[in-house]
Amino acid sequence: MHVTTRLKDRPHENLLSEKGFRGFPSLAFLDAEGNVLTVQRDRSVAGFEKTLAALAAQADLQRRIAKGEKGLEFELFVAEWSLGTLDFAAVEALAGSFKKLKPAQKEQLAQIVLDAEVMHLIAGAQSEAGFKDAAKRFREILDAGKRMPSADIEADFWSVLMSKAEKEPVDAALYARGLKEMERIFGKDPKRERMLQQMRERLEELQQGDD
Amino acid sequence: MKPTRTFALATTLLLAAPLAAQQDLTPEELQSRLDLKVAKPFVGNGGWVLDYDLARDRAVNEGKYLFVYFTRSYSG
Repeated sequence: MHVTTRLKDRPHENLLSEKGFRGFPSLAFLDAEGNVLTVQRDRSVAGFEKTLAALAAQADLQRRIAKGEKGLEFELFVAEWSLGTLDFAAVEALAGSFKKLKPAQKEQLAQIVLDAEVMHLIAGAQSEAGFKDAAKRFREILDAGKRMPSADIEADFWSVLMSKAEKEPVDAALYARGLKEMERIFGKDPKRERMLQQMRERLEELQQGDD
Repeated sequence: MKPTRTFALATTLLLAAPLAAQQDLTPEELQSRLDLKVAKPFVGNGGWVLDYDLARDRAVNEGKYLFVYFTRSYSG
């Protein structure tokens, strides 16, 4: 545990910012040299176990590759993706380098590329231009009717589309579809019921406006 | 746009007061807050290492990673 105190001359007082973090609390795995390996965002037990498993897999793969074992690059890529150390640009750059993938690996790669793009667009959606880009691309993904974002980012995906549906020209049908997905994602969580109810009321408003 | 700016300004002002108060704390007060923080049960019960250099030494010797929980004591 590292405690920022504002006491002067205390060793490593600025460790938080030195490691690239801003807010409290922040949780991260570091190697023995102090390099940040991954940020722990999911604070559930399952989330910690998933990170530990990915770190162990990454270390094992790196050892085997260093010893000269071939054909492990894709597995290492998947481990690094699951640790959150690859952004969309890195994923795009690496995706083209994998040859001779098995069908299941091709599926996995396609999903990672899509997820990386969706996460990249969501991160930029705070700005007006970024929001337009995200909404346009997400609508394309939806209309294509094929691959959809993974479970951990699908709520953000639908949130962008529902926000777009509220803007002129209003698209109540898209909002209704988004609401149905949100009810599937959050329907069993009592803490989300108020949010869902507000969405239902908003849908009614949008539908009345369509008349 | 105006309501948003007003809200942002009000939020900034509200946040500024406690932050200013925190910056006025004496070294003794800051040390006291640190002592209170590390005395909390979750710190001792969790087996946390509070010395970063010691934690890194242990990571090297035991062949382990560091899991770091960054927190603060000055805000009380």
